[in-house]
Amino acid sequence: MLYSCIGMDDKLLAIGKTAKLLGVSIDTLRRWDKKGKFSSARIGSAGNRYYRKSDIDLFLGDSFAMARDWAGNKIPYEPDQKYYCQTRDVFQARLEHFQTELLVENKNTFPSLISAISGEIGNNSFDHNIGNWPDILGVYFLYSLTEKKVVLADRGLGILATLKKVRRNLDSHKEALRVAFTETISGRGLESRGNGLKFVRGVVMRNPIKLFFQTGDAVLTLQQNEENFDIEISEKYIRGCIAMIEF
Amino acid sequence: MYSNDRILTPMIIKMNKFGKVLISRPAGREAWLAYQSTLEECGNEDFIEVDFEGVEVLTPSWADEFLTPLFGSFKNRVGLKNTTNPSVIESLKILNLDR
Repeated sequence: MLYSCIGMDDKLLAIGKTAKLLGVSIDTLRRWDKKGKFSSARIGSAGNRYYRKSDIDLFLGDSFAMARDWAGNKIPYEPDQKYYCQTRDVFQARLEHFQTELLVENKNTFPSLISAISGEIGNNSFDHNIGNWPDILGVYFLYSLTEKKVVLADRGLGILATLKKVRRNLDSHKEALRVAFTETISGRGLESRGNGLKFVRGVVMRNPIKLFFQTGDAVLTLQQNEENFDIEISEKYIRGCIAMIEF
Repeated sequence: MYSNDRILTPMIIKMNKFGKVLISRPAGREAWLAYQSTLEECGNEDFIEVDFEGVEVLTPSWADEFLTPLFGSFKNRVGLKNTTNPSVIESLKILNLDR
């Protein structure tokens, strides 16, 4: 991006200040710039990177869009380390930290259930993609205690491809998503149970929690006391899965 | 006398010894395998009490790898204790282990 393209009203911030605001490293910002994920303005003969305040605000305000971009981008890239759990061990450690913070913030609510459904969704990604990740391994795990939300995403095979291994007649993401949330089925051949997403559904329906879940072009939204099970079709395609839990 | 003492003192499995956040299948499976040598000490008529005190998070995935085979092996000789944590309640319910 050239400086001349930026309106004079746009406040520009140096890369160090931007890194602090976004909570990432300067190297991460440079990498994102190269990949076109978060572009800078190059100013002066040295070509120093500057960022528009409006771009930073947009980025900060929509953590879900950030995860969705990572999960759905045709060009695979590793997310910022702050949100990236390449292995199950890292996910476990971060979930435990999340649980500890939740307990401090929400003594009177239901931290164990929020952690449990986050754990089921995150571990599902590992269970069904281990050894078969198409490009980037692991899950994206972001949470905000102030916004009271958790975002989980993966660039895995997706539910349709996983369930087709044991139910060959499945032919749409919509039907695969319905089966995953309503039937006891496992895409892992020798495993008799697949209760994880049914568990998630039950917890959401019995508690003040909202869930958004997308795989492929199929989007499911669930909330407390909602018996309807409507799956919509999204224009944005995600090969793997992305979930947002609001509590 | 000896046999009566054994019946009155069931084997207690303190789940928090496996951790406070019990979520993944591999971790549950590992716990089950690692506990086999301890379970072998349990006699044919002994009872087992599973104590959830101190467990902050349990998921059906972890429980399915540990509790399902435990109930499969020891059937109605397994009892549950301190199951008030909401994630413990929900996990036991979906696995039909909430007796």
